[in-house]
Amino acid sequence: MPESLESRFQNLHEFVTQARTNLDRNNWDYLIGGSETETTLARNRLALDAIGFRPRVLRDVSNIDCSSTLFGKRLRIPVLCAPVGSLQVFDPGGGATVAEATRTFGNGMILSSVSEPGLDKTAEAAGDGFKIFQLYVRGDAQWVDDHVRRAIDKGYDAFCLTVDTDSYSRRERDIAKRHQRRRVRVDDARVFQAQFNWRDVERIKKGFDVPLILKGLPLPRTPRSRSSTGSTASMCQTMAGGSSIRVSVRSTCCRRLPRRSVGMRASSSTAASAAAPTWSRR
Amino acid sequence: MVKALILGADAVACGRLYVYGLAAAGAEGMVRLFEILEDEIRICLSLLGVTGYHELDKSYIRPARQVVEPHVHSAFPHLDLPHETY
Repeated sequence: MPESLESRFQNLHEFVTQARTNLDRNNWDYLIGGSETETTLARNRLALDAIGFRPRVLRDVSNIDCSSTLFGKRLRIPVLCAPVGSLQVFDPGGGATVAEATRTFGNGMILSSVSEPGLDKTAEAAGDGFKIFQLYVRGDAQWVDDHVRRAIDKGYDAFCLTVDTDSYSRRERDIAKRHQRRRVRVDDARVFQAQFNWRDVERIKKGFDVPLILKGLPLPRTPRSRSSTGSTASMCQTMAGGSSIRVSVRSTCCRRLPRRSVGMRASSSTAASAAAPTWSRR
Repeated sequence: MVKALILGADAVACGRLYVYGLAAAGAEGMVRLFEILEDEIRICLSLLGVTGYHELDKSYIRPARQVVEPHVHSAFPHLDLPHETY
């Protein structure tokens, strides 16, 4: 009789070991690697490791609730699957498999626009499960707006724009092997991402009734972001795994920024509140 | 995860972690991974002395020296454990 999953996997690190066994070198490096020299990755890891807990004792903790609410929907745990490109190299079903898993478990996912099987099929796999669509800008305003419209039509709970990839960074781990992922090589439409700016964000905010997330804001309190993203949620990147050169937000910064996040942070907002009247958890 | 929630996040999006589950055992692997993570979060909240995230604030964290070199897998110091230990 085959060993059950419960028996095979009893610690989180045991998944790492099995993933390493299942993946070839290039896909493993894609998974564990980061941008440039991976200094940012290590620095962000350090920032999290440099926080300890202060426990309390002699309290009644016999009934603990690990669930939370985001954009008006209940999540079994407030942990989402971040947008990862090329999910299909890790499982043939790609985003649809992730959608199936998060729907089964009861949390949610963010689908990357460069991950298979795309917006429509992933939405079908997710059903009424929590889902967000994340877009890399590879076309003009009409192209972008069409994606927002399609995401709303397919029932995505929010729309996410990645804003820190105006240039694709040098992934030195890959370059050292003279390996470059196919998508990156053929990506001539990247200029649209570089042209994308705050005016486009305003256009989407005004034109669509959907929570809008900006992924990769360097600091939540940059003057421009305060004036222009009042009705958006921010998503700060901490592990620099993707194409971003920069640190988005380190937890060391967050300690100076009360109520700002190293994860996702939403403000009460016109766009967000339309879907989620009670949105902030504090 | 809990550290990020204490720092003010409404939710945390993990990347590599769930892909380890996906690459290890597909959708079922991911579900199993989240079950373990949920258990870890429940234990963490319990030992912090709270019953939900709304009770947390920054008094529940403190600066601390890291105990391992920062690395993509520094959250998994037991990765190198031999299968049989004594």
